[in-house]
Amino acid sequence: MNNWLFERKSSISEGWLRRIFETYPPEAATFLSNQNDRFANPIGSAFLSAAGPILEELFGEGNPETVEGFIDEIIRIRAVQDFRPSDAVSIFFLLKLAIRDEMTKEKEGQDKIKTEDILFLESKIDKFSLAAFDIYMKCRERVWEIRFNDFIKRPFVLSEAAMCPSYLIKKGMIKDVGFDGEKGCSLS
Amino acid sequence: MAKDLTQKEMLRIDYNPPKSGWMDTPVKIKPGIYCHPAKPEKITDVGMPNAHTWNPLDEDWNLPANWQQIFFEGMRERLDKHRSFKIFMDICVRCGACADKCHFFLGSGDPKNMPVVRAELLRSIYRKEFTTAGKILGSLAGGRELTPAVLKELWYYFFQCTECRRCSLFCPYGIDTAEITIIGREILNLLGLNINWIQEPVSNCYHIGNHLGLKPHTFKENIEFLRDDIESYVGVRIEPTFNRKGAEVLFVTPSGDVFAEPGIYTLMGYLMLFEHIGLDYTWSTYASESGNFGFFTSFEMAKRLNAKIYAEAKRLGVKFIIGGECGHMWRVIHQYMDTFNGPADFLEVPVSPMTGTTFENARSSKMIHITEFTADLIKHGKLKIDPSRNNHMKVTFHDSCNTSRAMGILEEPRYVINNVCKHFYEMPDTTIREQTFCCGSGSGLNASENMEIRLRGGLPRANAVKYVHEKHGVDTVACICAIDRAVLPASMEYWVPGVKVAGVSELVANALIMEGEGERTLNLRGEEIPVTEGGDNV
Repeated sequence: MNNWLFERKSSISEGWLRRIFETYPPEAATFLSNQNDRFANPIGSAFLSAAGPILEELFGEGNPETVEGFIDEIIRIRAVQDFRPSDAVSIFFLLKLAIRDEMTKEKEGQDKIKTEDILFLESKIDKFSLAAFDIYMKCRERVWEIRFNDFIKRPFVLSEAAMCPSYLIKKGMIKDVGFDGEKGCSLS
Repeated sequence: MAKDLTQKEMLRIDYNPPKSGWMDTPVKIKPGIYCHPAKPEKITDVGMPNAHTWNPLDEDWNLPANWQQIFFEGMRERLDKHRSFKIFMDICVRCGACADKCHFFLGSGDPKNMPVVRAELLRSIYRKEFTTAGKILGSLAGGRELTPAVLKELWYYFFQCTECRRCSLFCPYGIDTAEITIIGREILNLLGLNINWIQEPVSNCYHIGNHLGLKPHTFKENIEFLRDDIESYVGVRIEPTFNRKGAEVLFVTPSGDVFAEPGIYTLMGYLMLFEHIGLDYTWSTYASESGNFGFFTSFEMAKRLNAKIYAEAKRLGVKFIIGGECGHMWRVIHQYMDTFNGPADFLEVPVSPMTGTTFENARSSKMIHITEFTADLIKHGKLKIDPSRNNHMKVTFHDSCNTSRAMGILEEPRYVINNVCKHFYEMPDTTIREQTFCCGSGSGLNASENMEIRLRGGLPRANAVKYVHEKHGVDTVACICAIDRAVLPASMEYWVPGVKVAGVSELVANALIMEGEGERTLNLRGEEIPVTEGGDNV
């Protein structure tokens, strides 16, 4: 690994976190990045505690499985937030930008980094992105399993007519079960 | 032809959407966040207005032509009627103390889930329509027009507030954002915009007696099935009575305890406890619901549903009422009952027949929570307990919003748990007692179709559970609220797999040494109780 980048790990981490928090609305971004208490700020602190170990692994062996727990923690949160799937898993693309920020900050940076180093690093980041995608899909499937289990565990007295999709479709209270044009797959 | 990007531009692709302030960011209603609209017939059959069919994803919500007039008149009536509402509309200085206290904001990062902004959604309309400055200066004075888009936003976000009141704990002015949500929902109900997960239980409760719509024979049979389970697992036959006139106590509990896991185990706990102490009590198949989804609809509906419990107590001639493990029931009983349907002067101040303790706190409502009743029994040595049967469990306690913040039941459940379980671990101070985080699905938002917002809202609580799970190996969250019991399992499955949810009365009953019991090898769930080689529970 390129030493020049490795020495700037903490600065890269800061830039990366800033970019992640900027994916939230501005009123929220300030809070998420400034409150360190794990219980007062579960989203922000999850990112803060995961960034270090993930970068450490990335600059080291580069095996996403080693830090799967940390990736899971942050992707699990984004998987149920108001993001498109691509935005939810974009965090490692934001890391690329944070590294480019660092490289372009000083002329020296661009001089000291070999093209092969940067290509190698970006390939490693791609592996992390794919790992994030796998975790995202696992989380989304889990959400649907939980939703389905919750549905079938409902007392039948209520579910019989009140929430039965066929009833709701008949009454025009939901559009479709399955693919619904622009809105995508929905049952709501 | 597409523009050629320079190398520098290619390195600076912006992944973020453009930013705008909350008032200028239009609401985007998304599946997974909201609950299905109320069925029109369920609105009509309780005499509520403007029932109609509509779909939240549609542009046109089929509102009555004069919907703005209805909205403004409804708001004016409530401003005149509730001095608190008028004050809450006027005095907020937007200091931000509440902003980061809402579980929905902490789990979503959506600024419209900050209590101050959620209230501001309605407050901005108040300014524009009801204040001179707002009428003249409009948005400069923080006012805005009530448009269909704004109405949709109000609906979307007032059904993303669980009325837990954590934010009000931190407000230096004492603004109760839950009351703003309550009145906001009342106004939306004037336009027929309730959700079915609330409206159908309201209708059921009003016409049949409980939220689930269990008819008297079904209600009775279900409890008898659970009695049979107790006989199988404990070896004791219990014969509960129903609608018995002259009983000393009327017992009411959420109907979820009668029908849904894991509430049924809690109900088995009630049956065993009352049998153990020989309490002279009766169930009612008419007042067969202690919860009150009317409270999430309008004060009037809450009053109507609350009345039936007291009417039944009067009919049966009981001395006082004991309520099961329920959350919002206690907010209704302790903060609203007296002005709804009080005074209940045909009942007596509750005195425990076993210990002689007078429950002074219930002098007016004549109704006590089972957890305070049980704690008093343990304190006076009236229960024979073998806590080692729960030795294999590592337990934490989730304070329900209503019992903790609205009622102050803080010590009793901890006292009970510590007497029936060996391993009890508190979650961090800022997440329990008065500062407790909501389960994420209260106030009638415990449907399945809104699972994503439920999981977002459940994150802060689950995050604290995860902490004690990792630090101490906690595997059980105990609680004294039926909605908690219904919704925390889903939250745990997503955020902290391996943690189950149990009512405190279930833990009590597992430890109770019943007269004439057989060898207790199974718990109330029919699971083997782990035993060590020496015979002790692990």
